[in-house]
Amino acid sequence: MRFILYFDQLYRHWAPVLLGSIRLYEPNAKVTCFCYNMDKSQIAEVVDAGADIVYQSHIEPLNGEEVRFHIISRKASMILQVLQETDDGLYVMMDVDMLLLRPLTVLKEVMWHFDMGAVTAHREKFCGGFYAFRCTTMSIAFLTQWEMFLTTGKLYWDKDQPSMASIANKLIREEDFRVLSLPRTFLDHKSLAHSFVWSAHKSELGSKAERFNIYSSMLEKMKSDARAAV
Amino acid sequence: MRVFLDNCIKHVSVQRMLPHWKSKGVSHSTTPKECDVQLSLVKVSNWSGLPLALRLDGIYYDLNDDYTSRNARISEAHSKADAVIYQSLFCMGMCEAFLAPKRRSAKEHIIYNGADPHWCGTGEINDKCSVVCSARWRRHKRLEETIDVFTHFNQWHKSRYDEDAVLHVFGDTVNNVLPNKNNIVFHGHVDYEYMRPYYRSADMCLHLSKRDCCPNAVVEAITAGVPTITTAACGGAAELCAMTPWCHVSQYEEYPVHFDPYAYYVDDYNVMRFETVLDLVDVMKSAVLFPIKPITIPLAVRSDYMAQKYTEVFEELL
Repeated sequence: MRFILYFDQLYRHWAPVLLGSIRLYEPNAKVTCFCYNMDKSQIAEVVDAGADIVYQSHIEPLNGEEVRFHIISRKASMILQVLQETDDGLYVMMDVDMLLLRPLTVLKEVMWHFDMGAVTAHREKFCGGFYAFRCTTMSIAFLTQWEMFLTTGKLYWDKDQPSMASIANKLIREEDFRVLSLPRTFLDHKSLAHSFVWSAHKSELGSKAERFNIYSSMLEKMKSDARAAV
Repeated sequence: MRVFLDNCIKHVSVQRMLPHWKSKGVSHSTTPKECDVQLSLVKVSNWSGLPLALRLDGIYYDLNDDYTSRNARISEAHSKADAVIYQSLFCMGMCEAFLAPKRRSAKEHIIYNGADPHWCGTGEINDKCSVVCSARWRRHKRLEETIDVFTHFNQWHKSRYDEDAVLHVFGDTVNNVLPNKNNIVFHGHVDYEYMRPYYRSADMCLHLSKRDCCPNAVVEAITAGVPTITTAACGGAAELCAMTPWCHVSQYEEYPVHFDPYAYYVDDYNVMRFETVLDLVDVMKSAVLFPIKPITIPLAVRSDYMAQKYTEVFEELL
């Protein structure tokens, strides 16, 4: 199993927290990080936190666009690159401002029967932030089409989720693309007891800085619980 | 290895595993003596002290029953089991939302129910377009909606082919008014022997029930090679159909976000939007116009694969 994370210097402080939770619950998993606009010392921090492959690149938008839009448009390219360069069975792409809350044992079991897994918001939109892929002919075909949409011509920074659903639905209907709809409770912003991933994308727990502090203390609690269980 | 089958020897999914266990040298008994591991279904009847694998099928929700105390028994077993086997991701979500959050062991697995791919045999082609559906029909099983979708499909079928398609409804009907139509046949509760020819010649299976964790009706349809049509709101059935390329999951209904037992009895929860009906009818038309011959049955719904995965869980406990 391999996790794929991506972030720039503004979000880099979240990486050690997420990597800490990955090391806690999926100690054998490997992690590839795509780091944007970060210097050597910042990259070294990511490596120290547990990433085993780190790609770094710089983005300097010419037209006053935000860097994050360029990063989002590269999602499909990043997954494709990792799928083609490694051999790890299951690949999970996560936003970096998330926390793994438990082992992904059941996801690994179930995904064996599917090409892709994602949380479905509704018919025309997948939730961003957490995707699972197996390296199959159909998942490569899907990612290639998605990449073409996201990276050709106009910067489709706000269309990654609907474009994903639209291309996936077409392939489900016309080809043999097998997509697992993950329950909405799988990914949660309030840390439900039965969630797998805690996401900081909503503001109910305060500002982003406050959420970061809650996440950090949550990780420490999870670590001490794990030590107590041993 | 010898497995103590606590309360499940008669259960159809367990029965289907027994021949495969036997071929792998796994024996079973209905008493714990000289057994290595215990398998219980839903709740534990005999706390034998053996390593316990618990298979969960969801929660009780029948308002005519004392579902609170029945769920309390499941909750106790869930929290004390050494390994829990859920029937689907949907099943896991439902159980974890309702049962005790603390568990003694972190071992958890998802193993779908399986059936023998050859259970209904081959041959016998029906020249009439035939749709099958099967359930113990209560409100959330959505018989009314199934008939509504079929009726819309049949209007198209009759106008195009100048003859009616037939809907075969299997299973007991509870509190339902049955429409008296020649092309909707209610067979009632029947055994597999009786169902075989209908599944063998069926053009498609329509499964719209909203809370099933891993419906055997869908497992049987898929293993019989019958294209099965469901919606994203149909829990385990949606997972089974999503993994089977020649089945269809309508995305015009959304994944259930809550599992409140009372909701299953409310019409608002069960009623189907017209756009969903139209989407399902479109898929049914395609199944008639461009029939797909299933090439392979997914491993996940085969009884030999199910038996293998259960054996791996037992071995993990030893």
